[in-house]
Amino acid sequence: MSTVRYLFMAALSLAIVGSLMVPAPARQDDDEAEMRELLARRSLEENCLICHTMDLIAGQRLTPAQWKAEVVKMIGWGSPLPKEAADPVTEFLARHYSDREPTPVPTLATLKDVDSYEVPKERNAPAEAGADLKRGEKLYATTCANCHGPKALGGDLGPALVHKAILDRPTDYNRILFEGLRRMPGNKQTLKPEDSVAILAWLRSLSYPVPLDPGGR
Amino acid sequence: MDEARDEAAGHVPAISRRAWIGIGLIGAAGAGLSGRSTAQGASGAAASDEEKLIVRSLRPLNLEATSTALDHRMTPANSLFVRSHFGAPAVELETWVVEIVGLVQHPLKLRLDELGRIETASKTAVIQCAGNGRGLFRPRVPGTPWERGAVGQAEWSGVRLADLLDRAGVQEGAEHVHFYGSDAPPSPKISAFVRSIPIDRARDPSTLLALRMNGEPLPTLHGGPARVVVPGWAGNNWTKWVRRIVVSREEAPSFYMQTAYRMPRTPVPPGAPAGAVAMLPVTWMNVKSLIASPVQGGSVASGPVEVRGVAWTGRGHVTKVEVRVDDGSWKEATLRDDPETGAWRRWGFRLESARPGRHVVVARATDSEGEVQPETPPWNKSGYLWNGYDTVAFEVK
Repeated sequence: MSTVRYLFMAALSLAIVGSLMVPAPARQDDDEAEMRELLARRSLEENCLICHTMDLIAGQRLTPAQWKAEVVKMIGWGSPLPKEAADPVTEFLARHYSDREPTPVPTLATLKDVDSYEVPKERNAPAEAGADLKRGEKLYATTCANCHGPKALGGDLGPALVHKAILDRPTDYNRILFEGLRRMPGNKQTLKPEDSVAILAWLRSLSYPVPLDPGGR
Repeated sequence: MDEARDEAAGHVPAISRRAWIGIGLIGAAGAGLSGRSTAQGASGAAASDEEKLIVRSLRPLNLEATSTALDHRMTPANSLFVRSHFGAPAVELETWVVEIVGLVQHPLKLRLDELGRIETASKTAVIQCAGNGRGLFRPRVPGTPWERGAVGQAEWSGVRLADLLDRAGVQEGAEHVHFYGSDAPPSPKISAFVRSIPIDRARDPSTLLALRMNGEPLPTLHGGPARVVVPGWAGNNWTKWVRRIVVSREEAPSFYMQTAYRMPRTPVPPGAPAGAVAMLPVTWMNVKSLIASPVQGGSVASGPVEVRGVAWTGRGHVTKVEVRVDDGSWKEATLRDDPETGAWRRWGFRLESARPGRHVVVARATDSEGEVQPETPPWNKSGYLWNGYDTVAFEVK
């Protein structure tokens, strides 16, 4: 191919690509916006919902500046939200929960029916007679301690379990342990039902060491 | 939390890739937006069911009473608002012991049965979340947008805190009493919910470590087996699930004492730089009335309309409640219940004739200190202690 012919072909192909690209920027922007949205939502769910439910956010209507301050505050409190996710999550919050919109109408529930892990079901305690506490402790150390902390006082990726009402809710406990929850993997392949009983029995045997000072900031 | 639960909790449902653009609208519809209606509007449909609570959030569990549930002298445990930062502990998992340490001569450890053998004291008192009415402030402020029902009244009984302090023997220099609960924060990085009150307030004969509510063992969700009761002060001072009491020279060094639950000494307008005005802990409640009936957005049969509600304050007691209907003048309501510091008084007003159609009733209270409930209270950035006129729109059929 002669140089002239090559240059001509190159110019032509550029022109074609160029003409194809005319409507492209809008679609590309859409795709990028979608991707940003998707990633921001995932960051929010994986990091913020470790400590609280989505309704705590979704019930509020704030300005972009207020959402920014909330995200900064939460990171200060120990939220594992990665630095690079802070801006996208802030934008996501400002977009969906803007102070220009009215607050949503909340749902109603009786105390008996409210579906929260924070409601202790004291008469629903599991049968733990004969549970192997030593085995529970060992299994906890290998399976759970990495995220929930060696003494179940919580860590960056898993909330405190010690003395929590979830220990009075064996059905919820078992579902989460076996099926997982967001970033927490399910343990169906690795744990047997008696393992789950042993871990729960060990968790229930722990005393909550009321701290000597409030800690945190 | 699984998908269904997240959805129930106001989570925007997961949707297809192409539909992301419209998510704002879907989110709005999914959340049940309907113009200006409020939580009380939502409750109008099922107003007869007093045990229905308004779900503000599931974790932390924040539940608000409907105004209908507050149409009584005492609020039953099942309709009282629920609020905590870190959730109720599984209290039955260990023998409950309350220890009293710090600047005391004899540190004490008392089991519940031992606390139960100390002379019992009882007090009828209003408990109100410091943030009750936060959702009514404009400009809006961050935090749970409580409207009218983060309040209630019960008979609390237990041990006078002064008696416990006397048993332990408070040393010279003691200025504050700190309370540690059994509600672990999600991680040790996060400050525990630790609060303190000045020693004089702890010694006040009305201040209790309550073990019972309305004659029953104090339910776990309301702080059982043992919570602090500080009549006249907002709920942030009523620490739940108390396990350790520390007598100290200083206020508690916690985030929840030093940063949260503080208000500027004098009002600071929205947007003004922080730090110009000293921030004081939220303590005394302010004078406030609530219309329990009719309900917001409800309808009543034609004929005389009974307007009823409750009114309370921090220092002193309520001396007057006035009611204004539509563009009429203020008229004095009839007060029931003897005046008692820390307790609310029920009130009633008979509207002899109201034409069919929409009406608006407004209430305001005055207390023995001469404080009058304002139309709108000064704005504060955390949305504490809203006590604007209470307003209810209803329809006469």
